[in-house]
Amino acid sequence: MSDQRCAHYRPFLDSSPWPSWIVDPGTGAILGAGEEAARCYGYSRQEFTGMRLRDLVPPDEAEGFRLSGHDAKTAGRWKHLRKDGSALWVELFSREIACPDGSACLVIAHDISALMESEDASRRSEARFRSLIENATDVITVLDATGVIIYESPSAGRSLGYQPEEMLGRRAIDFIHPDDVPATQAALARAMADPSGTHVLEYRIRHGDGTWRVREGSGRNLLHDPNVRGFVINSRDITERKQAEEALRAAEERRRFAMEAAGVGVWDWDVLEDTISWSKEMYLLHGLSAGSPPAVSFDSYFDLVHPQDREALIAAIQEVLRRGTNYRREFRVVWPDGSVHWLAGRARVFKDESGRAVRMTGIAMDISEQKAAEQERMELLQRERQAREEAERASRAKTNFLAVVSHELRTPLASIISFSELLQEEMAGPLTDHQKQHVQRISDSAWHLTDLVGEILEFSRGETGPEELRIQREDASALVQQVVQETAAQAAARNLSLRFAGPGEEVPVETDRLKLRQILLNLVSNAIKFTHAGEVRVELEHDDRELVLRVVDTGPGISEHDQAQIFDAFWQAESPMTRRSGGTGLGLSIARQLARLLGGELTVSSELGAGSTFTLRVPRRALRPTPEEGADHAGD
Amino acid sequence: MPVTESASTAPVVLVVEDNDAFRQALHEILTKRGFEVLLAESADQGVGYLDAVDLVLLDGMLPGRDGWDFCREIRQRYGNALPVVMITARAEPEIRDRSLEAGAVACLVKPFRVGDLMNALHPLVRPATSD
Repeated sequence: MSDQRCAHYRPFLDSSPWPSWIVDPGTGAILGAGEEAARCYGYSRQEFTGMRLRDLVPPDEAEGFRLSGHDAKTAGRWKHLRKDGSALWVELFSREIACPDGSACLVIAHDISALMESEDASRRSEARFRSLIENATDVITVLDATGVIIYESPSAGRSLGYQPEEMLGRRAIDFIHPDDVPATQAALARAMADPSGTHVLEYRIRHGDGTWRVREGSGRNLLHDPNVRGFVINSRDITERKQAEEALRAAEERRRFAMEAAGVGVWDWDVLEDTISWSKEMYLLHGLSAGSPPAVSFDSYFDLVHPQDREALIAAIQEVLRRGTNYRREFRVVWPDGSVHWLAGRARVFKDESGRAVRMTGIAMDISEQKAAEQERMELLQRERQAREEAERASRAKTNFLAVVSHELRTPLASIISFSELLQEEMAGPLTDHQKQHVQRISDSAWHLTDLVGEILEFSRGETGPEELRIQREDASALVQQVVQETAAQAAARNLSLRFAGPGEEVPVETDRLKLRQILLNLVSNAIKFTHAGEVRVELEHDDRELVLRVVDTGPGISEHDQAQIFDAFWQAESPMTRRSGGTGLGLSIARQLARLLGGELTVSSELGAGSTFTLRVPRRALRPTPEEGADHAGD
Repeated sequence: MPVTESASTAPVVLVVEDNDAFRQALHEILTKRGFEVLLAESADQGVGYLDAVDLVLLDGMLPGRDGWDFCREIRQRYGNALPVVMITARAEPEIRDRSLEAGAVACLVKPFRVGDLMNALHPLVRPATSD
């Protein structure tokens, strides 16, 4: 069947790459069709020409097709059927064409089956989505224009703790936390006045169990939508999320605060792009103003690093990049003003799937102060160690020297004394009295010299450190009385009264017994030696902290001038009497040294002609080397 | 000095002392008090006499091998059979302890009185004709 109306368009129909036909707008009859149209619908060209459009429409769409009016109005999307009954979605474009025999429509179809299938799928997923919303934590609430709840989705039961029907007819605002009411009301008022757009708000709402829950609601004003006629709120419980966010925010806040307070800089190096980004602290750490251009690449960064640390730092970073380990390092940077600052750096390397390092991110902080303190401590320790070694060396040298001197002096003294004795025994022949006197003087002098050697040795040993102390718990009272007893004969020989005045009971003290005894013996012997008449009194007093020992004599006294020098080594009062008493003048010097060694002090108060009082103060708890010093000594 | 053939029963004392004068003094003192005396200037010299003596009077600070070392050897070789009295020029208590630890029976600090020396020796060896 050939219609002349389409003859003019036959070339087009024959060559069109799209399914195309010409239809009679009055009857819907297909007047002519291209090969592509026939192929697409599964008919022969012959069959297709002569069909009517309604024959292509499936029965369920026929009513719609009829209602849409004129058969010829075929533009739009249609569901058609192929010859085999399968569905074919087409989008039709039609255009009236002028024909000599009347009107006709040229129709071009596009197969949109694939598109429609995907749209269908998305519609199905939308349906699924909708059911998800209805059954999940999201709650859909619809309010009327006065804020009264007119719809509540079933999920309200789970999410809000109310059955939807419990909420219907009540004002939404009645469920809101009082503190959030003003903001919610304001937001609602704004949304009611604004039909377009979505309004999002966070508010607290009373859960059916009585607790306050944080919800996030997004509202759309659909009052003017005839299908809805309500204010639709989609809300969900974000209490946990809120708490997590809050915790995260607080942690982040703390971290930021800590980093800012500590001057911690953060950097990130894109290894592949070789770009570095810096937090503002990084600029400060390098003495750069925040606005200045950053060290933009790996190489350019190292211009900021101290030349002496550069190579090692580069090597360390390359090692870290290679091995992917974490990195910790301390190095120096040089600020633009030339000052040197210590930074401590920590960093992590991020790798891609192939194991290639792609990013390195880290922190840096200024540790110049710690470094300076550390340095100072090291130097101090070094100096202290040097000083101590020096002192120990000197002490050893002195001890050796004195040992040698002692030996070198004592041996000839021993010879002098022994030969003097041999002479006195007259084995080598009889001596005259006069000769005997001479020999006696030789012997006495030799013994005196021996005493001096002993004192000098003792003096030098007094100049020792506290590590030589042997601290033990002693009874000060007993110790003092013992000294008094030992010197009693000496005092008696000079017709002096020697008395002890102190507590009868035990006076515990932690001290070096021998050294305390040596001081006391020296003081009491001296007092006896210099006192011609009267008495020597030894007094012991104590409080919780210290012992106070006084040796009081009724001797000639010591002038103020002499008092100032009496404790100096090798000093002797310029008086014939002192000379007669002999001695090295080391006794008091040694005594004071020992007193100080025990953590105490030895002082004198005297007046010429009114006797002297030597006062020894010693702590009852001895100064011990601190554990640290002890450890140092132990390690030496 | 050769070992004296001893018909007498006098106890033999070996004096090891490097100081000539003091060695001489000790020689005279001991001889006068009935001892037979052998003299040595060093440990090496004295070691050859040990079998022939009853007591050793030993200086601590000797040239070469010191007296404490020699004392330990004597103690090792003779046990308590050959007593050693050390004489040192050093008065420190440590030195006395060192001498006793080395095995000396007594320790005298130079200088000492003849009486002190005899007090040290008599409990160990006593000449028959002692005063």
